[in-house]
This record gives sequence, structure tokens and C-alpha cells, in this order.
Amino acid sequence: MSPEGLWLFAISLGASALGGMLGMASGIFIVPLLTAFGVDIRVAIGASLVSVIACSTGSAATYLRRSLTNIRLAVVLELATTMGALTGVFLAGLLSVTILYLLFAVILLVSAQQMLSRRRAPEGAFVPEVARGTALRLHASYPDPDVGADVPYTVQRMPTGMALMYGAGVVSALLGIGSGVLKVPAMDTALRLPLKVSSATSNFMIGVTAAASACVYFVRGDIVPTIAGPVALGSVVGAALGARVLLAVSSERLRLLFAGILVLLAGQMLLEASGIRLLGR
Amino acid sequence: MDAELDPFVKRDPLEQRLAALLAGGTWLASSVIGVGLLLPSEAWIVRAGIGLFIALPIARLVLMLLVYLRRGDLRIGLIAALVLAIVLLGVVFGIRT
Repeated sequence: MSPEGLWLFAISLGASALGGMLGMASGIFIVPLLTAFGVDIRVAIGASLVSVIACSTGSAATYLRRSLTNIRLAVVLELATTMGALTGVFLAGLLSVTILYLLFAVILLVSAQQMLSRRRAPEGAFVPEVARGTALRLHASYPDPDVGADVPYTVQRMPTGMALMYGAGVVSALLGIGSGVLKVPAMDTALRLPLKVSSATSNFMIGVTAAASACVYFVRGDIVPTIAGPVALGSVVGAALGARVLLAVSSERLRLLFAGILVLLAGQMLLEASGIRLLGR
Repeated sequence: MDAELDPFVKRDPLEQRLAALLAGGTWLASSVIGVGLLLPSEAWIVRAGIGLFIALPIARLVLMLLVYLRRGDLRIGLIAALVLAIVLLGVVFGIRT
């Protein structure tokens, strides 16, 4: 591997391992880190999309084996996320690099805020008559070890959920991230899924969402293998390591640390938007 | 209650097949990229590994589509086909621009 490749591998491994400890995707860290080291933001976005897919497919398998993923609901929501992804690819061609940096800074700040405010379990998780979800048989149950039995749940407010998912698809393609920032509120407040089901299902969907835009970038030759290769491999290894040390560190401290890092990266993106570079070229 | 009419879907054997596909595919694509990075003169190997990663979620859509159609679960099968069509539309759009 080239020295540059080793660097990229190490950075991605570190970011992904840290992300894995909190069960979050590392995509949001990859782009700011790569641009800080002088990689062009559009190249960074392409590489990050590949690493988002790589991490999602790896962890999706684990959730599926534990029967936490609602695969039927995922396919329906993917209609919205993939259409959003194509819209995002189209928009990416129109927006200037400065606007991409600014948008990224906003998403980083929203993520920091989300990291600090704890996710609450949705209330009123059981409503018997929900017509749209029933016709497609989207309601399901999941095994809850705390209860020791399968817990049934319904899927609510599909139109709002679909609209938010479309937005998540746009942002994912535009910035090369998994868009957990938009998926979490969609899953928690609109669809009102149990937390475990929403994490698993969102993770399962990220792969197809990112593949929709990555396909376009890949066939266009916008994904640079010497950068995307080491980043994807580092992310997969890092995510696997991070998931293993999940319980070793206090998650409250990690949350604070992460929120701090996100704010710092947002600051860096704002500086880059105004043409100031701290590191690299 | 008849299992077909029960709106709450219980564990589905398809989940385990998808898990096997995604886990196997992740190993394969990672290994290909790893080999490619050790042989820097052969840039196409890394590119192939990246292509495999991107193809993996599409392969799982195809698997879901086939299984739903075979079960006669046409509504969700149609939706899976539409998602696949949107993704492929992107590929055509990408080639032409």
C-alpha cells in the first residue's frame, strides 16, 4: 500500500471504530477528515459513500440475524430514499463547493445537538387501526430480551415518514453520508418504531440509499479507487473493532466527546467554506 | 388467526438469507480491496472491490424481489421492483452524462 493509502486506511479505521462504539455511522466524520488532509470535497464524498455502504452491509447482517430489522418497511421507505438520492446527485452537480461545505457544517451541528439530547422511546407504540401499514403488512414484532418475548408494534404516519426519508436520501447523495440525522427523527417521531427496530431498519436502508447515488458516481468515474479503497477497508475493520468495545467506555462521556468533535469539524468546514485551510495543502 | 391475514409479520426466513448474502459479500469485497491495495500496480482490483460493495445492496434488492414474487406477495414485490428500477435509472443517467 502507498504511504498515502496507509494514512487514509488509518484515519478511516479510527473514525469508524469511534463511531462503532456509539453505534453510529462514521460517514459524517470521513468527509471532514479527508478534506482536512487536502482531499477534494467531491472525491471525499464519493469515497465516503463507498465506506457508508461497506459499514452498513457489515452491520446489517448482525441486526438481521437478531430479527430486529423490518425488511418490508425498509423496502417501502427505500422508494423515498432512492428517489431522494437521485435528486441529490442531480443537485450536487448544480451546487458550488462552498455551499457543500456550508451544508455539511449545518448537518454536523444538528448531529451534535442530536447526540446531546437523548433519544426517547416513542409513546403510544400500539395503535390497532393504521390503514396504510396494514395493507402492506408492515407491522411486525421483534424479540426483546428485557421482556423475554416478541413485542408487536405498528407503523404509523407513513406519508410524513416517506417525506423525511426523501430528504434523508437527498442529503445522503449530496454529502456522502448515511443521513442518520434525518432518519432518526423520521423513525422515532413519525413512524414511532421501537428504538432497536428503528436503528436496525435505518442501517439496512442506508446500503441501498447510498448505492443509488454511488452507482452514478462510480459509472461516471467520480470515485477514485486509490482513495475510496483504503477508506472503505479501514471503515469496515474499524466498525467491527468499535462494535466489540461498545461497553468498555462510559457512553455518556463518549457522547460529550463526540458532540465536541462534531462541533469542531463543523467549525473546520465553515473555515474551508471561506477558503481557509488549517491542515494539508 | 390465519397466518396470511395476521398483519404482524413474525420472523421471516428471508432475513437469514439476506444476512448471509450481506455478510458473505462484505467479506468478499473487503478481501478484493485488500488484495488490490497490496498490489498497487493492479489498480483495477481495488476498483472491482468497490464495484462489489456498491453491487451488494442491489443484489439484496434482487433477492428480496425474487422471494416476494415467488411467495405471491405482489404488492411488496412491485415496490421492490420499483426501488430496483430507480437505482438502475441512476446507472443509465450516470452513463449518459
